[in-house]
Amino acid sequence: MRRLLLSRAAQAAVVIALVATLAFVLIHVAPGDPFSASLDDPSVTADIRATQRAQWGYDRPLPQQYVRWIANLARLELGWSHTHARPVKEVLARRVPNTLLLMATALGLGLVAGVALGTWQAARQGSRSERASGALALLALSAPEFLVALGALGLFAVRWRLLPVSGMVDPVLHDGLSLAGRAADVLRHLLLPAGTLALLTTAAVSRFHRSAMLAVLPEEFVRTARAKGVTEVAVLVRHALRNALGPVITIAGLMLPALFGGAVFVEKIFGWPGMGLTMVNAVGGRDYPLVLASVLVGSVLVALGGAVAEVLAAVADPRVRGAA
Amino acid sequence: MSSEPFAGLARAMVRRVLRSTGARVACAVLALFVIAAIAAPLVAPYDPTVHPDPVLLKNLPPSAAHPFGTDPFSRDVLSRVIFGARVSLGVAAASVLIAVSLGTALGAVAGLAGGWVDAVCMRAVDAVLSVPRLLLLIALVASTGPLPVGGIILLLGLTGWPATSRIVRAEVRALRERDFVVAARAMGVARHRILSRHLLPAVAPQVLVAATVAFASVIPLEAGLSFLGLGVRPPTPSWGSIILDGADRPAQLWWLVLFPGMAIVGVVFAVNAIGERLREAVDPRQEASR
Repeated sequence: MRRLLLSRAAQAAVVIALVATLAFVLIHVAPGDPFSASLDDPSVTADIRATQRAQWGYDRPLPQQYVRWIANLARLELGWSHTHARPVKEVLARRVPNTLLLMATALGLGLVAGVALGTWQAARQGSRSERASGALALLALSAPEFLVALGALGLFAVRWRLLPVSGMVDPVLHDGLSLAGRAADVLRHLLLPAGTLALLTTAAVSRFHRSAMLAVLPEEFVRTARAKGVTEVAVLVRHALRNALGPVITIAGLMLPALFGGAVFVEKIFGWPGMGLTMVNAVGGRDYPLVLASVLVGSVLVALGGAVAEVLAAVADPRVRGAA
Repeated sequence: MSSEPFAGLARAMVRRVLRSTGARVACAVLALFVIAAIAAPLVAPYDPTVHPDPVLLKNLPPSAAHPFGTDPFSRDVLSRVIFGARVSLGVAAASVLIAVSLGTALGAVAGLAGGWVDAVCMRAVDAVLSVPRLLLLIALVASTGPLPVGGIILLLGLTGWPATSRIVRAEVRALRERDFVVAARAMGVARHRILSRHLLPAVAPQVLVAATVAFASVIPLEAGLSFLGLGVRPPTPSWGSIILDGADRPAQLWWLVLFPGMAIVGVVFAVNAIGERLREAVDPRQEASR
């Protein structure tokens, strides 16, 4: 267990170092420096630009710049966002929790629905409805997130007017609502974006979980349980499901990069004020420090999430737990 | 002598694909798109980039004259989807070729070398795989500025190799200890010759499966980048950029989302379905759970 923790921590550190270095290289490959793009922005005074240049050491030799870049990152000094007219750190601090809320909701919904669907498919193995649901899952996986999001937006929000079109809260009513009312308001806005991501998560999880269940069902402890007279539902839920839980958590961890990519599109389309929307808008505004910081923070979060998932999967697996 | 069982596997793969009705349909769908892409100038009813009448002919819903409607610039959407197949399929095919070649080369080197070379390569692969590819591409495009189609292909190719290299490396490591490779080494066959004559033909089926997975993931990726305005630039039609033209009013201009969207889903679904059959042929354990 300790070895796993150490090796996962080391791997996460390698990822972070790699992304930080890549971002550094990108800065220097791009024409000019990150602050030249803000030249045409009147809110960025020559003073701010000079301070930034000095802070990031753009007048020094490259190796020194690199050391300074890493040191700045370690202190979470991510630069100045000229489109938001405040430090990148402050912009992201407000956006990251929104993305985490969106992704956690989608992942939670998708895992529960995917495990339920996969379990049902394994129990109904070979039946017509099982095959149809498998094909539907593959179809859902073949649709890009932005397409599903546009479809959901067009039908549920615009045509049928069931749910809000955009944003995270109602711009007029939200502040006047009670605490419960505000939570309900966020929930209404969350439903379509999280549902879009959850649909794709469900499809992916159900496919993995189905084969994990099929691998467990022929095992002897399952046969023993059946022989003891345990009902089929109890066999599926209590015995087989528990053993297939480790792989599900592993899959959740492996899906994080794709889920984060999907969140970029979903946030853009539903105007969800998270990191993805911030990043895409920052590209449009040539707000280079904000783009790179979003990519960095996003990659670090995904790497940490992957590490946590791998450790949790090991904890959930009785065989590994016994060996620890 | 060593290529004999692999030729058998290749035949098994083809048989497996053709035996399944679903996969036969998928092949037909894919062939249809490829033909449409190649013969685009002959098949498409209009020029995909000309704006015939930006006032009278814009945003028309589907009709006999324009089966897929027209876009905000009065261009015929059917023609744009057909020419878009050229761009979308071409970009995907070229970038997958780059990614799979790179991945095979790196995976083979890591697998053959073993030791610290292998360890370093695989840690690098783990690291790259855990960075969301879309974020990487956004950062790259943001730093290079708008790119021509060749640049998009290069970026997609250079970010797509890790998955293939991991598969090839695992295969090569397993094959390295097999009798026919050990025998060749004992007979003093040079390393590069063992690689090209014995190992690469043996990993080819796995590489083919990896290529289908790579293709199925790069089509939505290119469409997504173009949808964000960071991929193929207007007026060149790609399926993603056609959707972008209708993205601010998806309910009113539904034909701008639905038809190119169906093209994307159709191609990806077909490639996924074929890939699944190929995987079953390569790895019979998969079949047991089917």
